[in-house]
Amino acid sequence: MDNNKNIQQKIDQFIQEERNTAFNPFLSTRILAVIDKKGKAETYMVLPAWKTAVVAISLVLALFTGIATGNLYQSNNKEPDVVLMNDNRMENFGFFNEKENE
Amino acid sequence: MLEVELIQSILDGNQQDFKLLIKKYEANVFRTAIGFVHNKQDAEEITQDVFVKVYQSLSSFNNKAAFSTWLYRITVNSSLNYLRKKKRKGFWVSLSELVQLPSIDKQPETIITERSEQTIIQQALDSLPGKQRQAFVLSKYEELPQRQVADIMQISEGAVEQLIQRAKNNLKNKLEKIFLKL
Repeated sequence: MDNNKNIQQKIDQFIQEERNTAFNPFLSTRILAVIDKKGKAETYMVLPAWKTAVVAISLVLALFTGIATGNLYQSNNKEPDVVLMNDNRMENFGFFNEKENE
Repeated sequence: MLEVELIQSILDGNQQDFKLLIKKYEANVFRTAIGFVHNKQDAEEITQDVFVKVYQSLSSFNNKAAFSTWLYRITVNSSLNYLRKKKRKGFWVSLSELVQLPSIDKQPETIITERSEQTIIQQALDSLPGKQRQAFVLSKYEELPQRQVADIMQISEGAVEQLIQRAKNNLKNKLEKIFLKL
């Protein structure tokens, strides 16, 4: 019986000690600062999303403008003349090499 | 200023009024949190987290239940989430827990005995099943009436009474075995 009472007392004492723990007196200020910071962070979060979208759209536009400009180009050049040469009749450059003639 | 008016004022954008709300309830939130985590720094972190959540979701608060009931519900959930996260982190014990200095007016043996007794009681409390632990913390740390505990936990008053009784018996049985060995 005494043992039970003793245990109950110990539990109550433990709870009382924890209940009496003092917290940071500036806790409310800290909380408000966190809320303020989070609010600002959320505002900044919008900007990169905008930036990313603008950059992506610009890239796509640049790509299509390039393709469209490329398609507009019309060449005035005629087909080049093709000269056929027989390789066998070409001069042997080895002949002029000094080492081979030594 | 009435609580309803205070809440309306905060919703209208008066952030300074939120400070009044924090001042009114910070001790209650802190005490409940410490009942779950048994550590000052952790309890402060939970308190901060709770009030940030309250600020962000205040518009969703409907006056069906009392504001304090809603707040306690958020506190209990945040404390349990915090414990889950901490458990996941594993063996990383915060430095503050290790370096907490005992008061100098006590003998070293007394400090060691008290510390070990406190650890044993803490472990016994932590080993209680979830619902029993919630009911026990709300009723013992916050000294809330069973009716409010029932509202917070969304169960009947009878169920709360049973949970508290079972928690007491569990604690007694666990601690009896350990203290008899010491």
